[in-house]
Amino acid sequence: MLPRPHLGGAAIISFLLALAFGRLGAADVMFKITDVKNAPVVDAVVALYPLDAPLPPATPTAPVEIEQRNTEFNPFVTALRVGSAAQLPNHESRIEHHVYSSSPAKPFEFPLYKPGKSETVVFDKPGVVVLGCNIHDWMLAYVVVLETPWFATTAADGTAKIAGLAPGRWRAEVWHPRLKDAANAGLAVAEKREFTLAADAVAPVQTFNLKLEPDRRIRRSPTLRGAGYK
Amino acid sequence: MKPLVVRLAFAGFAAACFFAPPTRAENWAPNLSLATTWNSDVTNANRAADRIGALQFAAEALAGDRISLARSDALFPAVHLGADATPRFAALAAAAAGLRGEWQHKFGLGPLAPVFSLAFAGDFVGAREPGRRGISRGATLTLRKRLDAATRLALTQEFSRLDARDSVYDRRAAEAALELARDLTPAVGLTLAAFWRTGDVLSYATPPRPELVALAPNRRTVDTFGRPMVAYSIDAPTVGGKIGVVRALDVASSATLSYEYRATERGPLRYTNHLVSLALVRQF
Repeated sequence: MLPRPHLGGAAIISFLLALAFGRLGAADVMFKITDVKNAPVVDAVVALYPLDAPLPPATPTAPVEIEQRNTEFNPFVTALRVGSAAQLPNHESRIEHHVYSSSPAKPFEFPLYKPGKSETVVFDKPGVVVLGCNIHDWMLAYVVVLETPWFATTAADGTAKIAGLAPGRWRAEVWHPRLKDAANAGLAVAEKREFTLAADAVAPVQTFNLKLEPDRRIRRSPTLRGAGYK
Repeated sequence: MKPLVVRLAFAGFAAACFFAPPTRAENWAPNLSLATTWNSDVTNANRAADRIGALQFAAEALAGDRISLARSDALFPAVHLGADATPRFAALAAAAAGLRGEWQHKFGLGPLAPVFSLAFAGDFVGAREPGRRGISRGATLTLRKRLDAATRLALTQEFSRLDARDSVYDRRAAEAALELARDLTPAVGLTLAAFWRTGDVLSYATPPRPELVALAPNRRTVDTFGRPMVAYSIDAPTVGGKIGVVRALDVASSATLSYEYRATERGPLRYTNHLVSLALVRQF
């Protein structure tokens, strides 16, 4: 599985780019995402949009990987930039899948998806793409396709860091699968906030307190079938 | 069939539950279930003097595979093993081994798409009482539909028959069932079911019962329950309902506590069964 697209590597690259282009004032911003009970929220996608400059053009990146293993998708939430690709390998030993998405941002379907097989999908429109398996109804994953190159996904402690940001005004958007109508409305339901990064100053931690819906994923455990006279 | 076989089946299932890892839910892996049921009227009797309550145990194993036929169609061949016992009445012990085959078609894409299936079952049935031994066969039509991520609906029509050595134990029946399941939390669900059955039932009574004789061309004197009774095979309708609470133990196992009510009536034969059951299901 490929690492999530943030933290160490990105910070080093950003720092080197800053050195190269004389932007030593670049800052890192830490995000802390919690729910209404102040519990950390994992798998929230944080995206930043510069308000004083246009978004940089997209550059080719290595495809991310969303694997099928133990009849689950892994990772559950993947953020990537428009134009990026994702590989969807079937890492089961014997189980077939039928991977699909009906989301307007990227409808696709791979029926009879055998172990060892891997398909690649290019996500060319921004939005939220919901992945499912037509055989195993509980299998679920989200791909959040963003126009910005500045994004991160929260870890189990609810934190995420985005590195190499220029001073100026930014808009932060936070999306999570359990925001109300998150799958259908996509990025439109993201929590938004503007903030200003001062040059040569330590950026304060940006905290978001999300109101999340109950987790209504399809339950996986087996049940007895049938009822009636024996 | 010796009760030792039944005891070994239960012991094997219990050991498997304790020692198997919980996340190997391959298609081909066996799906095991173990149920303990209190039946208020195992004799299906309508007179209080003949009504006997008893605890029953059942174990079932189903090991199969999924074979994709096309985008929306699949076959599920499987091997079935089952055993049940009523400790108070050893004569009721029985075991079955056979095959299952199911064709399944999904109408569309996604978890909300309805699924139709046609299943066939065939078992060799062994029993401690030789007259109960025989061959059982069945066909089941099922239409399943998820209403949302937490709610499922299933409509089932089942046809079954048991051709036993002794014709009093023969059974032919048709049963329609409607089941609604709702997940209340990620771990707990509620199941409601209603069913309507027509076909043969086996009712035991202490003779003389001339009114039952008129209904039962097939009957036999037995000592299954430790005293002389007559088993009457009667074609009678049964209606019933079931409510159950399902608790997911992990991704591969669950426990279900349920109550089932059955009412059977034809002419002078009128009896009810109350069944309280605790079942464990585990997929390996």
